[in-house]
Amino acid sequence: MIEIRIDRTGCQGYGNCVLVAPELFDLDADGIAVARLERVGDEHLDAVRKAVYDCPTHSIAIGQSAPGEPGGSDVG
Amino acid sequence: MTARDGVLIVGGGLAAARTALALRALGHSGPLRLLSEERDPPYDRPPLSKAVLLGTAGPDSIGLLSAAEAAEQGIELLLGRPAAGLDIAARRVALADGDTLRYDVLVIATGARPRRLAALGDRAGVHHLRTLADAQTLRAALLEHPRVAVVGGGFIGLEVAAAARTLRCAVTVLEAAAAPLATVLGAELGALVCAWHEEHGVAVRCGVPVRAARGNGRVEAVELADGSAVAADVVIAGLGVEPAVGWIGPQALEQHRGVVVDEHGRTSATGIYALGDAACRHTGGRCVPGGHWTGTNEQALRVAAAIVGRPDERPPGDGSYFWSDQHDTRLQFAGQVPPGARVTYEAGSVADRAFLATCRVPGDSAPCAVFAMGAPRAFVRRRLEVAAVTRAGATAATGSR
Repeated sequence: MIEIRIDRTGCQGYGNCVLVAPELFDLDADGIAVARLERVGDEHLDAVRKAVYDCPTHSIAIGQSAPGEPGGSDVG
Repeated sequence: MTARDGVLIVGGGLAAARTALALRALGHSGPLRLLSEERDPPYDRPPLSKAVLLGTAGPDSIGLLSAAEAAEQGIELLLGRPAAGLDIAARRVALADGDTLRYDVLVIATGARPRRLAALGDRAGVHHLRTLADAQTLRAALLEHPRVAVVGGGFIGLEVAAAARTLRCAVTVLEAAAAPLATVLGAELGALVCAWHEEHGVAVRCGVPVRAARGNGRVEAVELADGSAVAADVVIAGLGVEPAVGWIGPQALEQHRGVVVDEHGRTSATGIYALGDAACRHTGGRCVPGGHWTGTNEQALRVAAAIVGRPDERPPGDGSYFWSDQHDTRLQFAGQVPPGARVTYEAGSVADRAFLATCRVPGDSAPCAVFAMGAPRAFVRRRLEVAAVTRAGATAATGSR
């Protein structure tokens, strides 16, 4: 499982993450990024990594864990 | 590819850093060197015309590849050492200090230099903005509340104008074309941006080119071609950039608006790649110059994939997406606006300066461009819907290079 954490203070609503993976990210009413789900399956890793990579403010962090485990190590 | 001399990346900005990191992420384990003329490790440039001028970001917050991370990733950083020549047959880069570096694979990521207007001369008070050092020098000058003239109404010039205004300087933007950003946004949206800057107290004078700077030693005024003059203590030239490829030599590689590359960043020479502001992509009879952050980001991944022998066969984006933050508002744009294209206001309020617009060539139902001011959510949604805008190859129509 991949955990998606968005730094809402750093995020400035560029929306690159939404363009990369609209199924995983959206902008809320204030234009700040939100993860549609905070934990997603490993099949989304490539897309999530691309979103991390394309964020101009480096406001997305991801962690990986086995299903059912809390937390995990940072992978991105 | 032998692991003897490894990969040499010449350049020290976003393109260079992201390519180096992508190579390691893709499992490339051979020698990997990054040769930069700048003394600072690679950092992000977009904040230089915004947060760094405003004092809300500095060297510590804009880094892309620190010395520590480079060491961890086995990337050798060679800083403060400009490249001076390229010998393709010998697979060697000559440095300005007399050393040479051999390579198996070369990546040219030397970016661009600010275009200089000869008319402005070398007086003190004339600034160009490209490096962190430039931004720090300019910020120090702006804190004195000088009268500021920005020559060139492109998006960098407008960001600097907005930042200078926020720092309580008197600011005039001098744009030779009919409106700022008119080449990119078209006349109607360009005029809107112009009016919006004026609402924030930025004086905008369009349609008359700059003829000269006046002042002995220090700049005192900028003279326009119609004989009028604008008093200024600080002049910032925002006239676009030229690819920094002089060090290569004109005969070594095919060049146009920088080094010519395909969609994988391959140049006309085997084993040599180029990307970012130093390169222009030629595909399908079109030229797509570099120049925007997201496009360069994508190219770095593609170049690294090609180098490790797993090229990305998906079509690349057109590289036209850019954002610009001016007066606490985000402008976002993707696509092209040919002359004669019509603007449709689709959402929000132009009067409130928070709206989404699309442009269409008469006769086409699909938009050729999407633009938003202060409407990031709407922009992202609309851009997702208009897939054709982000997939179409761009032409060389943009005049900002």
